[in-house]
Amino acid sequence: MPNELQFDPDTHTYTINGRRLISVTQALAIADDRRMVDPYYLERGRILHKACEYLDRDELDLETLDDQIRPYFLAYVKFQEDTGFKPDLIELRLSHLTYLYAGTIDRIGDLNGNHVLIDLKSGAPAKADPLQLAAYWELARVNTIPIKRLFDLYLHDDSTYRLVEVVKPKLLLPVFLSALTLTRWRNGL
Amino acid sequence: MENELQEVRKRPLTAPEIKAQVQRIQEVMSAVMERDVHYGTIPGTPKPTLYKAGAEKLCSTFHVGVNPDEIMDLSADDEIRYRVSVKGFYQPNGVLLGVGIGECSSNEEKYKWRKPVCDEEFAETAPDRKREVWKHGKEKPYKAKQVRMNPADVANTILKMAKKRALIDMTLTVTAASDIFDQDIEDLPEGMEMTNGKKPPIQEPQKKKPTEDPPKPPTPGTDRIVTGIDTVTQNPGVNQKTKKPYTLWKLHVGDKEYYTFSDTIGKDAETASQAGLRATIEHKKTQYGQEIVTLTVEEPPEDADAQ
Repeated sequence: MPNELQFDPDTHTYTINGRRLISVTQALAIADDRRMVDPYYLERGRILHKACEYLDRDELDLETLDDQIRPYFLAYVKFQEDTGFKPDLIELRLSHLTYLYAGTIDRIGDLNGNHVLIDLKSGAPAKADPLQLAAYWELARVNTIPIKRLFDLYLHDDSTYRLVEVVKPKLLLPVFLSALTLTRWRNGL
Repeated sequence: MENELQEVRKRPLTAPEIKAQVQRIQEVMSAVMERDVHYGTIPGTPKPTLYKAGAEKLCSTFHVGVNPDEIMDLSADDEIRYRVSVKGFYQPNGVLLGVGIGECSSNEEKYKWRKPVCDEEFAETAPDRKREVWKHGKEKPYKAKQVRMNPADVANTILKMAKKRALIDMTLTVTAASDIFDQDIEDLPEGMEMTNGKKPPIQEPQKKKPTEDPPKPPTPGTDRIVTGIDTVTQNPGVNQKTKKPYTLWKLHVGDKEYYTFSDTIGKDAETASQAGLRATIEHKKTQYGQEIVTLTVEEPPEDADAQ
């Protein structure tokens, strides 16, 4: 099938028609070196995402939830209970054929009557987080998915959460595109 | 050496000078500074962390004077927050060497909450001023009760902490010692500390097993057992009336015996018996004994292939 986005989870690379695309995460690494964190936290984030995905798909075996991610997971559950958020798109992989980048959007769904995009975070807020949402906003826009508002959902180790809205993504997008260009230049893509 | 810091600002440092400065700090570390008093290594961090006492020692060694330059009160409702900037100057002539900044807030985790004096205090505290939080235990996580700290009680601590952070920042800057020391590790936000592989691996979550269909009730007039099958025997014969050949299969379960003329059931039973699998046998009493109506072999356990 032409233009079908392929994702290799082992190398975290996206390809389309055999051409490698830059991932949003990869582009942001150049904008914020704090993203080069200890592999433990990357692994914790990956496994937490997986647990939340299984939860939203009603497939999670709760007995298998590791204690190290349980508080963060409970924070996500609490967020859903408090707000009634129900995602209709989960871990959605999208590509941008003009700018040649791709990414996985954590959640898109209805929040208080608005169609919103939510990115889950288990670490400390980073300066580049809003850029990431701007990149996702552009991915959704170009794939004709209407998004009204954008949020980072920070899940904490005390089972609390903080929902932070990112406004005016259009103004942030050029910064992300600059990081994308720099990454492409650096990697010879 | 006394004019070292002043001189280096007049021209770019040469490689030997940079090396000499690092060496000088290391000399101070070994000669004057005491581990765990002036600096220390926090488990899981690659570099030693400079403490306030160590920063003061380095400033003294290099004749760096400290001048708290500006204190910004960024406090809001229910929060005390200070940002302090500190100037470092060369004591003999007052030349500015560098500036450090530091900030501290009573909303930081360690200042925002405290242990209640007793359970009664926790019970009497308003719901929005208390919480139960997961903590890492020695063997497994546990829940701890906490109540909110009164920000005014820690106002002085917050100010001093901001000043301390600014001082350490300035010292690391003017002595170019960041490659030797970390900033005080408490300044690292949650989730940014290096673990150096000391944390245990995290178990992957698993999907729920698909729920099995509830077992159908036995056909009226039959009984059902779930059992392993000891042996299966087959006796070929010929029907006297129809003259057709048949095979009589006999299943032995303990001291009981079940029979069937169905080759399908017989072969399934034989397979189950050889593999040591359990089977659900629905049977009915006839004049010849217990005849098998249906036989369902259970699935082998998931890890059977791995063995």
